[in-house]
Amino acid sequence: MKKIIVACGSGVATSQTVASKIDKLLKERNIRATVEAVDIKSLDTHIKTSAVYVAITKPQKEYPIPVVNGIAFLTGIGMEEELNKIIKAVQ
Amino acid sequence: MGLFNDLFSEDLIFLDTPFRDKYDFFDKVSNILLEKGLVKPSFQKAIVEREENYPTGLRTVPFHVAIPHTDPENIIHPFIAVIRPEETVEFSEMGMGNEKVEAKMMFVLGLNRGEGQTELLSQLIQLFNNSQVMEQLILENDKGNFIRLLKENIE
Repeated sequence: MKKIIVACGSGVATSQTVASKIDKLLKERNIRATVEAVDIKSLDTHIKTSAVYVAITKPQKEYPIPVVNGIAFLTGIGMEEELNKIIKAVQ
Repeated sequence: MGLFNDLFSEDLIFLDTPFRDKYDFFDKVSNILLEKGLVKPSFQKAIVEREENYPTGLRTVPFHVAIPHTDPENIIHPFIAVIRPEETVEFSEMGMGNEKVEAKMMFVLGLNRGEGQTELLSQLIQLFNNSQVMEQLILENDKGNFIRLLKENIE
């Protein structure tokens, strides 16, 4: 099963909230994937084993996997579009 | 729900408070939180620094909000403080660019990874997109009603 990672600045609030939201949306659409909120400090390690990175902070560099805008899952604006990118990456 | 009542309370709701800018906001709110024994003295510096590095302004509709927070080690007792400023306060937008938002409401998240907090936070963030309720919150001047409105829509 493919992995989706979400990272933010302090791991106390936003990444978990976004991860939880994505998890719910994927389940509703019967799409299987693991969604994990990770510490931004350990991001590079996780990138190696993930299919897509949902960013809440500005990406500091280019990544070998697709990067999706996580803020859309907080504001609801552009959420469908970002969700579709995630779905494409995990299928 | 017990968690809502643990985190929100009338004495952490501030309506129509004037602030010069976000630094003034952090200063005033941090002092209140410190006085109430909810945060450690390290809180103010930590939350300002975090906001600089990882801004929390959200470009929500019908109006912008901000959800400043910092590491759990600065929190003594978890809380969520809600501030509706007299005038909008400028915050940098979370994430992607260098945009600014004009926050009409700030939610200071004094969270410490406690049980149920993520779920409650999800509900709160969902609420930001509920135009009808947000418009009511902008107009409500009674703290009791304000908190009741929040509770009805978050639990």
